Amino acid sequence: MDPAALWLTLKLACCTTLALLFIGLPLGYWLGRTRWKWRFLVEAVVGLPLVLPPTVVGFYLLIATGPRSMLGRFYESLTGGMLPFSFQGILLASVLFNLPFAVRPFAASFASIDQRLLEASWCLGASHLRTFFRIACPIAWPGILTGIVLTFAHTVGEFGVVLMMGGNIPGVTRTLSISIYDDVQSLDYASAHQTAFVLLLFSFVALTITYSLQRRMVTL
Amino acid sequence: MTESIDARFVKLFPSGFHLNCEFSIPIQGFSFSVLFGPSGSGKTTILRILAGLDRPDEGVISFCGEKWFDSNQGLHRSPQSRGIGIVFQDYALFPHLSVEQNISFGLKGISGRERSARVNEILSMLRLDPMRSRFPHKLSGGEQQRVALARTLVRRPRLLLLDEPLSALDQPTRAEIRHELRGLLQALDVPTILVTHDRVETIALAERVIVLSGGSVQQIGDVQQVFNHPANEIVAQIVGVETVLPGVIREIEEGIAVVDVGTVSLRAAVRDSLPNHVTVCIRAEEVLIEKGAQGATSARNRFQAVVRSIIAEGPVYRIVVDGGFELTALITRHAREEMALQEGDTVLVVLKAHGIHLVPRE
Repeated sequence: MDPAALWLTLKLACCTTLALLFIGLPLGYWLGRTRWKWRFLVEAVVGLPLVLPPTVVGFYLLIATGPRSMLGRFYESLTGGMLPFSFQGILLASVLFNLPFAVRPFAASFASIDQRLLEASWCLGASHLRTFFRIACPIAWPGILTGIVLTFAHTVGEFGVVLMMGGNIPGVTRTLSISIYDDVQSLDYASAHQTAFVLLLFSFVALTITYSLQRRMVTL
Repeated sequence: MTESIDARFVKLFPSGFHLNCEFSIPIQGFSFSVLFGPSGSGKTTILRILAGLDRPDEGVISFCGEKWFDSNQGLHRSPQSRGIGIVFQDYALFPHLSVEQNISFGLKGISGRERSARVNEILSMLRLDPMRSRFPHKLSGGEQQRVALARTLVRRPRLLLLDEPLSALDQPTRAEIRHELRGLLQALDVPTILVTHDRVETIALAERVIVLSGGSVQQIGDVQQVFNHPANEIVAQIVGVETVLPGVIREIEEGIAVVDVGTVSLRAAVRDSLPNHVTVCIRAEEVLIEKGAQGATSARNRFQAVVRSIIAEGPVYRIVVDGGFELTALITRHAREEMALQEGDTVLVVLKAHGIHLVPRE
């Protein structure tokens, strides 16, 4: 197993999960509680990565962030670097691609909170922000944890979108799943076995945690 | 400045329900007002509008001269800034916080020492001391209700709103808490508005009652006044007058009206001037039933009737008799046994002129 790939994978998964906590919690709260009639449009956009091939997402991202695109030029003027084939690039790709894995469990969990609890909090003088952190998040925590575990696990196993956006640069964009692909290409089956088994075990544990949390949520 | 809450608003619902309210409730220290009406009459919505949780489509609400809502100015004060307390029907205790944390949740912006002093004070006032570190799901219904009250009262609200606070409790607990509740709110000097569809609760707790039906206010007044002298047929039915029938006044002489109801002429005491067409309201408690020969009586109405049905209701019997019109009477178990009353018996109905209340018919 490639230790640089392992380190990079863990770094990517941590950063993705963290970014999705910042973006996904407010978005999930809004999606879970709003009665806006066009909400389903936002839900559809968030859910897109579930059905789109990773190559499609990766392709559009590559085009959108390339050196000739507006976003690409803006990013270059800001940092002097480029998004494609960089860690920041695969981070952006993985955040977008993991959106449904974080936002959907968050939203479902927030949606199941009794509206009375939030109203009681407002009537006790608590602001919307305080109500969100002190009441909504603690009550929705099983769903939030499910989203975190799913996002982390899914990022660890991500292949297509990372390959499209980041290529295969050792230490920069080559994650564990890409290193398996590499190993198989160069007929190093022993190394591929090792990495594949680690990922299998990891995914199984992650799903076990998720489902046991969901069961506890139902019985709550 | 007026020490009252003045509301006049309209709210339309997608279902077509139309809430149209106008009332004024004096707010001066402790006072207990009840929004009373059948379910679906809009009373909970009114409470939510007063709390700032729902927004009327049109109107003005002011509290002691302070504007809470004005559709013309686009003004709507948030629930946070109204300084009120609300207790929901299902209490809405925060499940992840202990009793003590639930109660101190709403105390912000004061020193830690004062905070714990106030929490301790309310904990002992509501006898919640022994369960301060317990979580809501470990409490009985009555205890949960006390926590919900404590959580609100610890903030010293300017107005307390209670949404059917006793309906989730069993009957013995309800009677006990009802008694306690009034004393507590009186001691804390909090003006209170309570929503209920329970007649007993209204009579036991309230000073002032606002009767609602179909989204509009039917009558406002002193509890005794409203229950004994309903303003119209709708109120009479809501407050539970058993016999409500149309009648026609034939003549009025010395404060006694002769009213034709069905095939019978009744004599009823009149207080105000009335049109010819009236609604006759007779409480079951006012109806006397006699069997066998009787001598002279002071009661102005006596007529024969046939017993149609006898229904046991706890310690009393509800008797429906027909003597030209149907009339409900309540008698005790003992009385029924003594008279050996059976369905189909012919009895004498005796009614005092003051036991019959006449309201103008629309």
